[in-house]
Amino acid sequence: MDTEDLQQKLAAVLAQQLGCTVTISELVKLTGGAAAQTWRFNAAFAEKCLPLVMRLAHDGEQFDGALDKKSEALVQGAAVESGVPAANILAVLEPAAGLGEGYIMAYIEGETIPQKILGQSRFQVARSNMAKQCGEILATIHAVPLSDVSLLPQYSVPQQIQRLKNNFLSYGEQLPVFHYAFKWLEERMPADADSCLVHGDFRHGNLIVNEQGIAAILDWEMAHIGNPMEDLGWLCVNSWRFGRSDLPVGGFGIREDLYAAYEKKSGRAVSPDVVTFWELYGVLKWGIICLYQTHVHLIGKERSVERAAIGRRVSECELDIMDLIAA
Amino acid sequence: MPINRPKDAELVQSVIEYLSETLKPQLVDNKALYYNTLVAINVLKIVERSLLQGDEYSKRETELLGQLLKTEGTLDELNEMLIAQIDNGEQSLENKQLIETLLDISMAKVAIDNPKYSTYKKLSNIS
Repeated sequence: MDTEDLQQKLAAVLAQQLGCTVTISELVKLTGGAAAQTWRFNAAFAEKCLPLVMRLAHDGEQFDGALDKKSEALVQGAAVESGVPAANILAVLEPAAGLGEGYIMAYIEGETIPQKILGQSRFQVARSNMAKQCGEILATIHAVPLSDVSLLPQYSVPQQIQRLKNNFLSYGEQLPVFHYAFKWLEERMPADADSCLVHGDFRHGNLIVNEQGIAAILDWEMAHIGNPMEDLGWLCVNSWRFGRSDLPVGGFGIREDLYAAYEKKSGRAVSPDVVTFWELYGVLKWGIICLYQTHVHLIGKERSVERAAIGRRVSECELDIMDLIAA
Repeated sequence: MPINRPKDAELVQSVIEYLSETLKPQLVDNKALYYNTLVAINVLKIVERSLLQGDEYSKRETELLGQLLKTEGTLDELNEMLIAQIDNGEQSLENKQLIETLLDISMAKVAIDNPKYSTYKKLSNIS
């Protein structure tokens, strides 16, 4: 699909949705991630001009448990309804639109690249607020009424671990550290907690940040119903600290700020041991996502040097697992 | 008679130089090509380190696993045996030698794959 074609189809979708003529301009591709691609554009209609974003599904297969775009839009919409900072959904693309699977949402100004957010002085104030903000936003996500997201799959902790393990075993890689990690998790499964909406990919890199702090949460495709502490653990995984190992919350903050803000807003106590359980689960899951990404390349489904390279990041996860265990 | 010079690592080094010094500066206006070239350079640096340190790594892994399992074998056999012992509970997760062996092997792997990785630097006391 070329840009002009895309532009025409977009205009038609929005005209139908808004009931008036819409002119699309400045259509540019923002990202072409492994799971989705996003386009930014301006939509002019009825003397207004709105900056919007279209998120389109990737053609290939997805990592186990990822939602289709229609469900993702529904979850994101439900989160916005409950007061989570995320982009408002304007339209879900129907097959007849000829654009593929996806949805259109509001454009939110800000930076998403972690290295810039961690490195640039203009984000200094933002960085000092972000751990606390993450706690508050996660508490808000975990309070989304389950009746609003009843389409989501629900997994118990043992089920979730077994699914990840089956996924891992399907790649046939000899990784004793991963077997160690599964065993370690199986021996320490937390008692049943309240089931909540879990974002599933709440980490640095999926945050839109401005000078004041977090403006919006992106990428809802890994959402599911589960143990709320999974999101806190994933946020602290070393890979999402982008070199700042000393600041466990996304490379910008400390655990105490995250936990305190979460407890205050949610009324739910945070057990550091349970967060560590989910952090180790998170490192393992990231390692298995890397295996998956490189597998897509190795079996010839989608050849790329990027997918090849990511296979050699699995050792970073092995090291992080053993570092967590030995600590 | 050995294979002629340049050695494998020297050949790889020449491609790294070409990509970094000649090609990359031409691509600053094309984000995707620029990014993929950085990834390609990174891949070649892994290959270069692997050519230089790979034999040493395999020797060390074989040695460490052999000591832990008190037996000899190929790397495949030793890893398979260790995995079975972890899965069936024969290896206690608390076993200090097991933890140290896995940590040492992971460090040696990352030394090849990405010696700039934060945890690698932290554990080898490089700032």
